Amino acid sequence: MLLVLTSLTLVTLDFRGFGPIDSARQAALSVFAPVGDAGSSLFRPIGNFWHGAFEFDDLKRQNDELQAKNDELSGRVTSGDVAKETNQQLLAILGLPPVGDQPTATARVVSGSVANFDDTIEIDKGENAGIHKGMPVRSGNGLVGTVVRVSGDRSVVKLITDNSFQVAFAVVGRPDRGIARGQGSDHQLTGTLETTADVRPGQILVTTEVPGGLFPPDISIGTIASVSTDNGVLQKRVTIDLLADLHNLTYVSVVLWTGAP
Amino acid sequence: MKTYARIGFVVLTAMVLERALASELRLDGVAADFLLLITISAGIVAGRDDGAVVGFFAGLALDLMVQTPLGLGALVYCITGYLIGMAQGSAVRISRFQPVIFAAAGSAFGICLYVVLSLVVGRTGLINGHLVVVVVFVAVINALLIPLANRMMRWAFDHPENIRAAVR
Repeated sequence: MLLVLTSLTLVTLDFRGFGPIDSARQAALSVFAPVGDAGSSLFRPIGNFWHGAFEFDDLKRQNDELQAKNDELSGRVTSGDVAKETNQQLLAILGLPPVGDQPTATARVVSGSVANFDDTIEIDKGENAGIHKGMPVRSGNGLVGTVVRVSGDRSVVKLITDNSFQVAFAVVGRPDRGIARGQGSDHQLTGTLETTADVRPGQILVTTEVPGGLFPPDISIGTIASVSTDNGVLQKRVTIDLLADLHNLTYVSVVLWTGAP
Repeated sequence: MKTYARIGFVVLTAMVLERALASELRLDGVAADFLLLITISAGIVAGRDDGAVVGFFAGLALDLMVQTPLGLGALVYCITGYLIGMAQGSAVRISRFQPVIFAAAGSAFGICLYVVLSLVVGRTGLINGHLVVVVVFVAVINALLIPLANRMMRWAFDHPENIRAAVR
């Protein structure tokens, strides 16, 4: 009974943001970082064999797809650079601040989720690299999550697919705005917009800046997979296919963004 | 004192294995749950009270590694360890397969309780088809590993193999 009461007390304290609990978690993160690294080094070959044995066909298909995408994207990078340069010149002419160039810290993913029902990853950079709690994390393709715990040289990132994750989005080329939420699926989010929003499958969604928000504008999130109208609550619901492949994260960039004013 | 040190060692070992292995070896996105395994094993080997204590610390170790509210894992594993110990103590007959059945049933119970209490504290979307996969996978893995875990737990509690938890 005493242990049950202690557990309930801890849950309550954690909900109320009791400081020492965060400190204990940070200490555990620091202490177990080398242990985890050693263990991962030891077991990674077994893991690679495991994935090779059970996911060979998937890996081969992914490799073929990635090679095709790589060729296509090489061309797009060149035209993107030209467009970016033109954009910066136009902004300079109009006297507007440049966008989309937030400083980032690149980090290696050292561990995936530790337990079932835990949508987090661990990266090898922390406070020493300027990372703080709440900063957004992205891969080359799009938004990955936010930093939820930081120690000196380690951070834990809550993935965008976590059920408690929410992000405000904008539809590229449209004035429509909405909120996307994680739903536990490893490759999709759900989103809601006003019923007047003119959205269609295939449109690209990016983060948008809101007062007090955690995300800078223009980090790509995903593409709309399907649209349905919920007349009961006067909202449009969209299913969003994520651009970032959360299964194969090796390196990610932490956007050193401290939040909108 | 020696017993506490050994139990601490077992919990720490399970924690390290969970930390190192769970992110590397997954089947359909599901990882083994070594901390739940030692909780069930403590209930089987040492009875309900010790099962609850080991479960509490194993759950607390899990809580320190994940983002769920601290104390949730401790509560779930504590209850699981206690109930497994109680079931073991009240069993009329002992068969060779009893630990295997307890391991599978205890794992399924522990995971379901974890999900239910997670919903109570505000997490959503956990009840879906994937939950069945998690329950089955963890139950099977723990059922396979329970003989090894029991051997380790008997060493930790310094209990000879032929003494039932029920008489303690």
